[in-house]
Amino acid sequence: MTLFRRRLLETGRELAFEASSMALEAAAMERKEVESVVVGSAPDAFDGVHMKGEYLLEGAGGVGLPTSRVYVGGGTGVFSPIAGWWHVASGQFDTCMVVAEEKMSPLHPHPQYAFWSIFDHTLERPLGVTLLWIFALEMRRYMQAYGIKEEEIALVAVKNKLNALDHPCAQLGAKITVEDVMRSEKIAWPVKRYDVSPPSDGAAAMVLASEDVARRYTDDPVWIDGVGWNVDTQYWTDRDLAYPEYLERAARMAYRMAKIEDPRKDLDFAEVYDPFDYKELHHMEGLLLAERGEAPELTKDGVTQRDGDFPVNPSGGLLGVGNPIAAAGLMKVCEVFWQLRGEAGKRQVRKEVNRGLAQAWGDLLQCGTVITLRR
Amino acid sequence: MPSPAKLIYRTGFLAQKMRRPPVGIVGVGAAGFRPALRGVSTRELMYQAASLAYLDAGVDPRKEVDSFVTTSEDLWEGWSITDEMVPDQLGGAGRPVCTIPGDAVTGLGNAAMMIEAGAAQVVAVEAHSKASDVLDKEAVERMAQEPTLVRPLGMGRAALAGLEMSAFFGASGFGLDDCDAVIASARKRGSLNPLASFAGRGGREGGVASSPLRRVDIAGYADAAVVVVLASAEWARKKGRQAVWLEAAAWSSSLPWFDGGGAALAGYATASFERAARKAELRDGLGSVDLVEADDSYSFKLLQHVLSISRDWKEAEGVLDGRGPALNPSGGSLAVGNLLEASAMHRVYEAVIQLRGEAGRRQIERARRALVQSWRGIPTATGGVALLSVSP
Repeated sequence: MTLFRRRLLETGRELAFEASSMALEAAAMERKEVESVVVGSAPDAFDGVHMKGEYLLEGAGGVGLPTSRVYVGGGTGVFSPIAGWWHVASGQFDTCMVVAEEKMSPLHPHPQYAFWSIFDHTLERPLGVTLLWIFALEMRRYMQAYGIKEEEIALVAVKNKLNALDHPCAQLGAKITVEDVMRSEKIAWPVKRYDVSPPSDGAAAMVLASEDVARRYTDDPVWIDGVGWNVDTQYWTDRDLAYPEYLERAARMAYRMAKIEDPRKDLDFAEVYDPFDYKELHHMEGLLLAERGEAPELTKDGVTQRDGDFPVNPSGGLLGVGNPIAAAGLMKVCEVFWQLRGEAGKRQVRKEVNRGLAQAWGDLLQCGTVITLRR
Repeated sequence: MPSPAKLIYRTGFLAQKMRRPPVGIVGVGAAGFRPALRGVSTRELMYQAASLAYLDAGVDPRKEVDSFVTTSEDLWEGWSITDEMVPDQLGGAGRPVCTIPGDAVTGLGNAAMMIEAGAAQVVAVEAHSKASDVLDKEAVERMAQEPTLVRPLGMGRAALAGLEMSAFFGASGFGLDDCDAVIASARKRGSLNPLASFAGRGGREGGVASSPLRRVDIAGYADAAVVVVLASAEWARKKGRQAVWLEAAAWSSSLPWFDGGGAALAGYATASFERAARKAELRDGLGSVDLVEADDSYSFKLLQHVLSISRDWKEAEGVLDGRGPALNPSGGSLAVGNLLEASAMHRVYEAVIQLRGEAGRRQIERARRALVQSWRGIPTATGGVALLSVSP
């Protein structure tokens, strides 16, 4: 993966090239051994390029190859390896390069303006809504439904930013306190500056291979054993924002495939999508890693720390590493891979890990993508 | 030294080597097909096509469709994250839904892989055009151009197409007379197709767009939606559904002509055809198919595409002269309209109804195998080939 930064000078195509080159080098493979390419990138509006997949495919190594762009908004980063999985698991291809890229910095004056376009042009845009506003609604609903305080949610931001100090690509690793979070700038109550991840530029990539091809390159493989994705109704006003049902459905799809019956026991750790600190808690519950309303307790008790019983976001998450939408999700899958291989360096969790999960969230509060990996 | 970084899926090694069970198209639905559909929203258009497809397939999407794919590009819609806006009208709310932006061949190919990988038994793939809602299509099209080196040149699609047309004529020996023949054939075939809004265009109206490209060489935009329902062979057998079998779906991207790619042949079409032909074990090139639906969003592109998927000049000439498989029995985009990313899905729809014997006055006799060739349009060099047949 590349650095995640507020603004990188490289173009989106160059970022895709950097990440895919790194993946090939790490895999000790050459481009000619790649049979297919999956490109994941979220709204075209960020890069300012229509048919963004066409623009990126050259950087991703897709010229002369079957290249598919896949896209489920913020869920794209975890959905891209899912699409890569079906390329290989179908038997159609032996190898697949998966590249996720996002370049949010071109949008002026601020990337937030792109999010205006995810609202329905007839029913919602006339209200003058922003994404931060709608997430503030969801955060408030979650707090109200379970009696959760802002300070309890702030503990997630503290944890993840601290974790990110050990990530070489991190944009916003920092040692902060709950008080720092509470004092930070109010954006849309109850969302404050330190509750939310930054806009970023960055890319990540990985190479998937069928078993017989993989055996030529490594005797220490990591397997994809469960995939799931789900998108809820577009009418968010019809949903109870206190609980992400779409994520539970996506999780159950993945757990069924991976034969996971008790996720807290059968999994060892998780990279959970955290564009906001409350979303880590929200998603833990949707993933059935905590009872509804109880994820804050696990955080408070240190269960989700790197040395805890069930580490969550040992990478530092989006809050600490950064949030170039699609690349952020793939960063999480990469982190699960590195943790399982014992290659996470200072971020390595204390316990022995054999199975991990990565999850991302997208569209308008409505999409869950889940992937489980094991040694 | 760290081991190579790979994420590996344990397939079932033998699955790759054995012939995989086929995936079939068990339902199709098409709605709209007019230059401008006023009073019908994009969502309503999708709903109409989806309803027809599910009726055709005999499925309840809330229970029997495992995954839903939309192939739209955001900027044509005027919103971001298209899959966010589609679940309800497709019957996919609370189900696996995604966007695979591209043409029908990529969408169908990925849907087929979902089925082959065991992630789904039944997948609905949707494509649509509501081009009439787009106030400034040129502006959207320009945004597809590479932003650093190409877009600053200030060329619209007509200029790029005109330059490619000129280069193609020089490299291939084709000329405007051949384009006139393409247009005449499109109108003749389209006159038999109730979905063709532009078959009645006459003469050389409109003048020059960007010499040598004339306005008459460019397919007009239209609004439409098409939904295709794919299923595994096992599902189709269990439910007693007749299927048109997807023998192969292959796609590729070459370099655009202005980026170093050639102009005589469309590399993406050749590569896609070769891969599809290998998968389907075609033994006689285009002689193995009964009809071809190829992209003709510009008249010269049909010539280029046919040349690119033919074994040689003789075969290409035969197809263009009507001595080979029937070419664009629907009338193609020149008669039906440029349906944006739904253009290829319309070709798939035409192929399916032809193979079922449901094409009415334009039915190709004894149609058993069809080839659909697609192109994503300017400024891309991406396209695909799908092979469909009545036998698995």
